Amino acid sequence: MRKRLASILALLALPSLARASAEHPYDPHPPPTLAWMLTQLVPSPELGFGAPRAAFGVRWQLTPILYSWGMYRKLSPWRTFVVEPLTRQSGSIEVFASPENLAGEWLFRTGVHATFPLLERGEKLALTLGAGAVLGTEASAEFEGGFSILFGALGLFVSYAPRVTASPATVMLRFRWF
Amino acid sequence: MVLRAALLALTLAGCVTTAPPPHRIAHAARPDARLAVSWIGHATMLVQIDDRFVLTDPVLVDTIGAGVSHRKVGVPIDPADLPPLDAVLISHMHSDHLSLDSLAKIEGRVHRLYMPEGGLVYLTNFRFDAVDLARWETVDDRGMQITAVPVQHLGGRYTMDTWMHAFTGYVIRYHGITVYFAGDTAYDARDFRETARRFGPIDLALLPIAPIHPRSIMESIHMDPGEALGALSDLGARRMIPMHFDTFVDSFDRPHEARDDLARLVHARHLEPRVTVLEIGETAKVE
Repeated sequence: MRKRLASILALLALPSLARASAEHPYDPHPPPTLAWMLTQLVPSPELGFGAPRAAFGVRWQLTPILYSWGMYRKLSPWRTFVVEPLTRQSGSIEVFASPENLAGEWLFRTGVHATFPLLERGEKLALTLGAGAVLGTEASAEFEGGFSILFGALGLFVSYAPRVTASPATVMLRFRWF
Repeated sequence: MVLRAALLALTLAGCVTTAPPPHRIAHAARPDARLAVSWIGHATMLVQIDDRFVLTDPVLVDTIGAGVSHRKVGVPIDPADLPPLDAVLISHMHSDHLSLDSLAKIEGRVHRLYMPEGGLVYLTNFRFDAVDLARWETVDDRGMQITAVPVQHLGGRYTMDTWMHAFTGYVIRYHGITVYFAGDTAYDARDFRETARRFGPIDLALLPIAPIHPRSIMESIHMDPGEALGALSDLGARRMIPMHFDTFVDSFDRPHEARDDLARLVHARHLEPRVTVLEIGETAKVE
């Protein structure tokens, strides 16, 4: 348990490692505040579609690491866990980790997302595409895509994991704040 | 109160249409003026000091805040008609002051953009150079000095970024002319007097006069017209042009309430020679 706790704390400390910026002395990585932690606990609801019927689920989302190509060039493009909305929405690629409970079963999704700005540098509308794996009682490759609005706070995402027999397709209403 | 809240909600829902501006700016440059100011709306001012042009908090689009909030009055100038901009000043990160779509429209004509310290993280990768200034930091840009000066406001953009304190006012000095731009600020006599002590005499102060209501919330972050006149006195500025009113519905204020309150107070205090109220799209030559 202590090792797990130490691992989590070490991961949360990673933002300090991403502060490097050759050109600019004031380049703060956003800190993992209590408010941020609480918002990360809010899950996004989803519906899984498959046999025998649609199932309700919830999904959490974490970003162990993100690279932004849209943010201003004088700043470090790297972020760990805490990511400002514009840093993601203006064009980025990230590793995602998503614990999920779908119809009572715990799953874990991980892979890579790329987000592309469509309107107002992505603050008004952005497209996200991704691929990865679903791990649970069944394992499968998965593909994801969706649109997000309002600084990325609200999104509609579709996932498809062909080898998850109970719910290969899911539709998620994504809530995300940082 | 209920009606005002309903109006605010309708505006946020995009149900308020954008009216055409009362004036249009066809020729932004005034060769006959040493100091001239055009009000483009809200906190967007085009300031001409001799041959230099400075644009403050540019909002050159009809919607802000990821498309949520609409202008009541349209943009009075085609961005293509703006002169080459020696400096663009961003006072803070709220959507009505930092509009990325607006910056995209003027990207090719901006020499350098200035932000408060820490603000660059709210900027995308535009072609122009951008620098952030710490409080009281001055940059000399080809003979024009730009200094970040303290004001009282909020620094984030997304409500949760409370660690961010990226907000500032600016003092611009060029060829012996000094202009103060407050951005958004609450009334703080100490800040204004210290700015006056360091930079006075100030020729022109661009000061916000709204939103006013609900005052219990606004007073810690926004001046009302009476406080703006207090700031004018503290700054010791020769002239004042008010801004940040009648462009967006962002409060419970009645239409034109801030402008009317200011006019009444200016008259009562005999300040007419020092205060010039512009309409959107209007240009004033400051003598």
